[in-house]
Amino acid sequence: MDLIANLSLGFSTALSLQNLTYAFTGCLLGTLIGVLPGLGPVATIAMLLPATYGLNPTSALIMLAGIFYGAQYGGSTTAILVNLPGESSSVVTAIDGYQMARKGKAGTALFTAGFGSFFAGCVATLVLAAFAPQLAELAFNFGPADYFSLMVLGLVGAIILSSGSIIKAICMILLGLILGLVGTDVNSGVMRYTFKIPALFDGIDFVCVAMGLFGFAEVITNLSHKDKRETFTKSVSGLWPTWLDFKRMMPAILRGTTLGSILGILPGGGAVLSSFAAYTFEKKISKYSSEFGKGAIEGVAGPESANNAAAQTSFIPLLTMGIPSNAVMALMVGAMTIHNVQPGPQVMQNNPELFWGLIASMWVGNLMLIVLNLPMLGVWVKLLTIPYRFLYPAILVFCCIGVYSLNSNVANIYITAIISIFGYVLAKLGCEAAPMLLGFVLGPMMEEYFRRALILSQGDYSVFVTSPISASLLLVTAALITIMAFPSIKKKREEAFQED
Amino acid sequence: MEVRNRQNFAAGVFFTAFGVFAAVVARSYTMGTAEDIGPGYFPFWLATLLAVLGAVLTATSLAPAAHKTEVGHLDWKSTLWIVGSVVLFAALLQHLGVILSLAVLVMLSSMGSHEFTWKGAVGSTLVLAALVYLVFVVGLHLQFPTWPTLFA
Repeated sequence: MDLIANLSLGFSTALSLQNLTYAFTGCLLGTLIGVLPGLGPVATIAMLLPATYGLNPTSALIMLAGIFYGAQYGGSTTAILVNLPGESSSVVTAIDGYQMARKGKAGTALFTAGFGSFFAGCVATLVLAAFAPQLAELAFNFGPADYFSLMVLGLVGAIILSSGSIIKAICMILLGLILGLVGTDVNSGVMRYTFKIPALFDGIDFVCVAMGLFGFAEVITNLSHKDKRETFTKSVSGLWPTWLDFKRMMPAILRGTTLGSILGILPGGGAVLSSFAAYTFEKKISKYSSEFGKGAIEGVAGPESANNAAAQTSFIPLLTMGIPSNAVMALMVGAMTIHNVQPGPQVMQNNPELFWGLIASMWVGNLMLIVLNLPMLGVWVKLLTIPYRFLYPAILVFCCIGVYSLNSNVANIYITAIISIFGYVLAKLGCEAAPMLLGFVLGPMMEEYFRRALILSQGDYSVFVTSPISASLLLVTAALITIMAFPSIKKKREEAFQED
Repeated sequence: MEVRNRQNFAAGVFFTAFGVFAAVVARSYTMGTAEDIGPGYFPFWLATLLAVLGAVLTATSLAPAAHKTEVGHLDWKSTLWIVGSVVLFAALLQHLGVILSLAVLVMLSSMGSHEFTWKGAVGSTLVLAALVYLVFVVGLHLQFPTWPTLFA
């Protein structure tokens, strides 16, 4: 029984006092930033990267992962009580969750979200433990051409995920890919796009890009609108659902978990996509579809389970193939590289305690989160009353220090500031930042695999279609593009993203 | 000719310009051969693709059937406060040390908010200065000047 032996190795790692502390810190921070609107997991993980330099890689990744799935829990609290998604994957939860709160059922909605997330987290941990080894095995058969095609598929997946126009998302990816190539080319030693600026010789650090786009640019965007908040903080009572509520939420949780687990694995998939998909699905099949938008419990249970399941299964492509499937995973690549762990199929063999420890810590983390969230709800609700004018200077301070400490160079702060202006203007033009960050991380990897594939084939471009793995991946990519181009699907996709 | 989709028009022009610029620069690097692609190959083709797609985006934004969008109001005031205070922080850090530069950053950036109060901003400064001192200087021993170099 490999699985049991592996999991027990994982639990013995995750349950060490040190790792428990870091998992707890991660979950706590994750819930905190999930609750606070205007601060997401990408910016937080980027800010905290320097704080993990001194840790061993296992503890560092356990903490960073905790932030990510913790944010999925916290985000729903804000969505339900303030009708403001604390986190982008809670956008759909706000629809029915807020309506439930207005009907005086805030407690039930919060319980549903918490319980659904917990259930989904447990299942996703098992999925991760069961399928990751098989996929890693498969990944060992991947040649450079196959990896290249897998990245193309991942990037096309990221396009589906982004809400705006497809062509703009492709442009953002290309922009990211090009920016990723800035610096000294590893093969020829040629300085590309450095314009004789020493700070660019080693390339732009991805933390600068992440903080510029998700830290500073977000602050600027948030400062420009004046939102008014209506909070249902006093009316939270009666966490326990009635038997009827329970009977209605359970099937939705099961469906959400399944959907989320599958969509999380897909390259380009992730928490946001799955919560949207789960909501649409529940609305379609529910007996109570007329209640949707007016406080249907399924509209909370489905998406909340789905986003948490997906948050965890999106680690699968990262841990098995070394391919980040969303912006948070792109940061995880960075975190692993900082700690000299090369993401990919060899992680499981070379660092089994990291691999299994991380998986086991997710289950432990979910348990902590349900304890943190339900009984301590009052504390989080209080946090919602912190005005944004106190929050954003803190974000700026932590971003600046984080960026500076990458290599004790103030030039990084200047680079981040420049990127943030671009990020802000592009966001105003309806271009999303997430595909760009993904492209940025994948740029150098794609070039390297492309180059190696052509060396192996002696310059024969057909290698991308003659290798069966690569050919099927490209086929899937082509199918996705075709499907997206269909007018009826295009319309559906636009509708799905309009519900926020 | 009317620019119907202003968002896409502006984005398209930006992408085209960026793509053309990046492609021109990439031409100065060796392109290499198919067996051994040079440093110019990948960026050149990415940039060309970006320029082409940007042009397509611009062209479709002019079509009579295009969605009508306006470019939202760009809040240069907030941008200036935020980016300005960050740049100033970077410029001052080596000379004033992290605590005083942080005070400048927090005070200045707080002024960008329409809800600015002196009391609130000073409070934020004190809390953040204490937090940064305890976490980054005492706790994590990050390497940066803490106080002005004159005093040290």
